[in-house]
Amino acid sequence: MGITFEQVSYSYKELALKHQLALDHINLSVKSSQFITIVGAPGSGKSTLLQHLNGLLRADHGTIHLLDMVVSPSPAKLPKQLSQRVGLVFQYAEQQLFKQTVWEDLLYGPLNFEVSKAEAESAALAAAEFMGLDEAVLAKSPYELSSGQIRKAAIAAVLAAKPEIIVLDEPTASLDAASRGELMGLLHRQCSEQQRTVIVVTHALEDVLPYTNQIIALHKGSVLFSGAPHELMLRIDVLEAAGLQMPAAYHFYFSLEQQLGLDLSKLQYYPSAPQLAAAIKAALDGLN
Amino acid sequence: MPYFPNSDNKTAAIQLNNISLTRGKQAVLKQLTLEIPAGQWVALAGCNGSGKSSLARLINGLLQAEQGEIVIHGKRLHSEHFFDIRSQIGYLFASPDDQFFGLTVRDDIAFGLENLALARELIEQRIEHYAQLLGLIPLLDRHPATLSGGQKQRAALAAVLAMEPSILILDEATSMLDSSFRDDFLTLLTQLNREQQLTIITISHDIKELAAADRLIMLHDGTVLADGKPDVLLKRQHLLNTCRLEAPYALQLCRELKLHGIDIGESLDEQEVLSKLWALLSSKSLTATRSSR
Repeated sequence: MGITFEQVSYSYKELALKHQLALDHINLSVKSSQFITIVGAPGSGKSTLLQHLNGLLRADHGTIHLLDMVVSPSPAKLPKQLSQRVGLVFQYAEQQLFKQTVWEDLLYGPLNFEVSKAEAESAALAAAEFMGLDEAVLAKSPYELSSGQIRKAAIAAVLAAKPEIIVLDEPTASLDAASRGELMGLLHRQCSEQQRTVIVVTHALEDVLPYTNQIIALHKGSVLFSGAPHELMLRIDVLEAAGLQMPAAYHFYFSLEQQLGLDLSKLQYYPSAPQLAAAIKAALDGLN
Repeated sequence: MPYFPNSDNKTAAIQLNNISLTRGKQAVLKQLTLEIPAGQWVALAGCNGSGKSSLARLINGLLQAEQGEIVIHGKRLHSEHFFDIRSQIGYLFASPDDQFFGLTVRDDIAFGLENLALARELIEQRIEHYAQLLGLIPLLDRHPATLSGGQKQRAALAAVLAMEPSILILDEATSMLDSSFRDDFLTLLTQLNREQQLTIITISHDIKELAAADRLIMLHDGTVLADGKPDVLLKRQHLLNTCRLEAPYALQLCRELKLHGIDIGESLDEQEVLSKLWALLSSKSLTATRSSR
């Protein structure tokens, strides 16, 4: 039971857009409890696709299966609980917080989904703890927080509603490196420990590579690639179309592969600096 | 020691004298003194909450310091010169949504130019020129709300650059650009900086962006932690740790190799490290071939 898109199309009808297909007969399939990454050039349909996952946008054609729910084009009704079971963190998380204090923002989601006050409080507290937000931060207004804290608060507010699928649009933009790594590690734990499905849209491949199971590349509203991270690295055409540069680790790896007689499958997913240094050392020793 | 590569150029674009700023009960900037010469490209780094954005907002008057003095191109930043100074500073936020209000991208770029009371013809020329530079020609007639995050950032950049400010402040303004376009954009900034002596302040967590600047100022807890050449400071691990920056992969690899007794020096540059490794591997394989004969 995961997520599937069957022939899903969507076009923006309003404003100056000329009925351009933002999603063009998308077919997709991902397993649950995995860390999924979506990449693509600006305007390729990433954010549009995300908004289909919790019913913010409705497809013109096609069907979306989310766990045991089926989302069909309107006028079909949206499944009950869709917005609770799929939590969405927007590109600018700060726009998602609107209460007087962070704590009230964390309570808002669960209370809105009609759980008791006590349950809401325990869910909010658990989410705050998970994201490392202490009491001092919870008592503050969202406007008093630094950008890293705001992002964490917005994610905690979504987690408090206990969604089964967590969807995040560019969650690491404008965070410092340590916060980026920390955030991705936390999201990964949501998959491995809580069996939740995490879907991240990003252009910062380095941030997700150590964690992601599957990468999907969109191009002009279609799926150009879907596969494991190391498979993507072999597809220069896809990287180019998605406006991505090969991460330094893979750049080094592929540049030295032949000289060192390296085997990618032995290096696991992500050739970390210690692993690559050890491989270079071994190759040099072999030459001596 | 503050570092001024263009020290023959005596005009300071920005002077901050003993600036302090508090928000609520928290001191955000503590008696900060800085001088940025005209034409210099300065990168500001520091962890989230270190005071980088507050500093940038003080410079264009969005925030007011409780103490100290800010001088822009020789003029004190206060009500008398406020609009004059503001018109010389281009400021771009991390979130471009906050700076759109036109119905099309073209209108948005035109808005700032109309406020500068430029002739219609010149406005059209500038729109064309900067839209071209930022690859926006196909998007000029789109509504900003229909653009993706990265496209919005490009449109916002075009609108700010078209006003041809003498000081450009980019506050995490490239965070959503895809990596290949980001490289093009850094090249464009370098060009504007060298050819038009544009003073640039970039706030970023991206090592590549920080390394592209003439000078790097690292802030921590409202004070200057380090001030110097980017390629020197970015090799100091304790500074990287304090600013919560990650050492670039090339540097990490150099250090890991050294632990294995392979010393190729330290460099931030991928190509340089690769060339050294290639040289090392081919000289070894040459010796190996010779000795086997």
